[in-house]
Amino acid sequence: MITKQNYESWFLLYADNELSASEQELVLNFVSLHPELKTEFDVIQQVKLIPEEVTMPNKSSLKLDELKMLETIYRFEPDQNIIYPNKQELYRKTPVFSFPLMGRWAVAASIVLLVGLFWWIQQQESIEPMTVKEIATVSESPLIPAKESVNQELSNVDQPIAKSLISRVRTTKKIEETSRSINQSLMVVQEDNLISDEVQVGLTGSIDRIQGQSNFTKEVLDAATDRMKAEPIQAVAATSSPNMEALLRASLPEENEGSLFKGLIRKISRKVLHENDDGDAKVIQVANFHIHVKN
Amino acid sequence: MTEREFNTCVDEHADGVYRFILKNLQHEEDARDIVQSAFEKMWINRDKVVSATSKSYLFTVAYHQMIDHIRKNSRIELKESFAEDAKMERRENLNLKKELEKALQQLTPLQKSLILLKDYEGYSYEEIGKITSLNSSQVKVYLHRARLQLKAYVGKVENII
Repeated sequence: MITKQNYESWFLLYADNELSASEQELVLNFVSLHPELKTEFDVIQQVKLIPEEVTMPNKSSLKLDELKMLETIYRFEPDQNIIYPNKQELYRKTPVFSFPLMGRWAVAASIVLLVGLFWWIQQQESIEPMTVKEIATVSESPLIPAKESVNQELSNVDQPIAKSLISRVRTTKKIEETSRSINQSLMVVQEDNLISDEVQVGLTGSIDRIQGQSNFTKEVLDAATDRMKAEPIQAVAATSSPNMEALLRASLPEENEGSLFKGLIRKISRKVLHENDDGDAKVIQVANFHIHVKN
Repeated sequence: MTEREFNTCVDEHADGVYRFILKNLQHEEDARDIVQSAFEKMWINRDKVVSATSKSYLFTVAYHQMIDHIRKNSRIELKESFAEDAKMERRENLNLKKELEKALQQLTPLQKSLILLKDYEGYSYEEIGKITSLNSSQVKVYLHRARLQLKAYVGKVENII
């Protein structure tokens, strides 16, 4: 039902041509009954766009045959004779070993380090074992302990000769060679059941030097020398507790090639324990072994 | 859809779609591009499109492409409408048809499309709804609102006259 409240909607529907014939009749009747709304009704009907005659330019271009014709006329055949001159430069190659820039430096550095390390090990291993004569030279090493410490050590020693030798050896960096020499001496002594003149001379020479440099008490050294002469085997053997001998043997360069790594570990551990500044006295602690001494 | 049917479709509907888009955009080149791509799309989907539905298919595709185009060029569109406003300042005594054309350009793209589809193509609310992705009652409401806006605009002009 058209009322004064909803007539606008009806007028619009009429303009949109969305009404049936009977509904259109209703609207027209309503307008005739309310002539004051006639103008509004007319305006709404006027606000309609009248279709213009618009033609799409070049419409035939949309047609398929035209498109196809154009395709056939303006068709380019690919020239198979044109080839790319250098395909090699286009190929992608994956390198077998590829390191990023930083990685390459790291690898280079590692190699240098490893080579250096092995060279150093070789150097250390190739040092000739010292003869007994060289013990004297060893004892002239600049790393001489302070008088007090040497004296103290000597006074506590039960077997003065061996002990003093060991004390001296402990002060040197070249413990390995010295120990080896002592060990060799021991072997000789044990085999022949007497101390060779050479050993005696070497030992005496060492003691003399130690005395000269360290002010050992004459009595101690003399007693030691006497005892050494009288009972060479016992004197030395007493110092050679099983532990010590094992340690001395361990310090020998091993024939086995496979022990290279073991040797490296050993050397590193020595280095770690190498120097120990003890006040004025410079004590060099080499290797981590203990010598048991009977009081 | 066969090739023959497609070409017939061009003859029958190309002008209508072009007019619809041209009235919206006021730009011949853009309108042609949109119509062309609408036909291309119909050819690609020729298996799904039959001759009976080809007209509304074309209008639907063209309408959505036009909306995309307007969104992309919204800044330019804004400038144009400012220019339009400036022109309105020095309004002259124009006849109703021209005034209506001007009034049409004041509407939103959707309103414009609804009016054009209704008045030019005579589509029903339902058909317009399908083209513009609205339901028929939305079409009715939006279309009435648009027409009342046109009425208001033309009414002002008449008052000035």
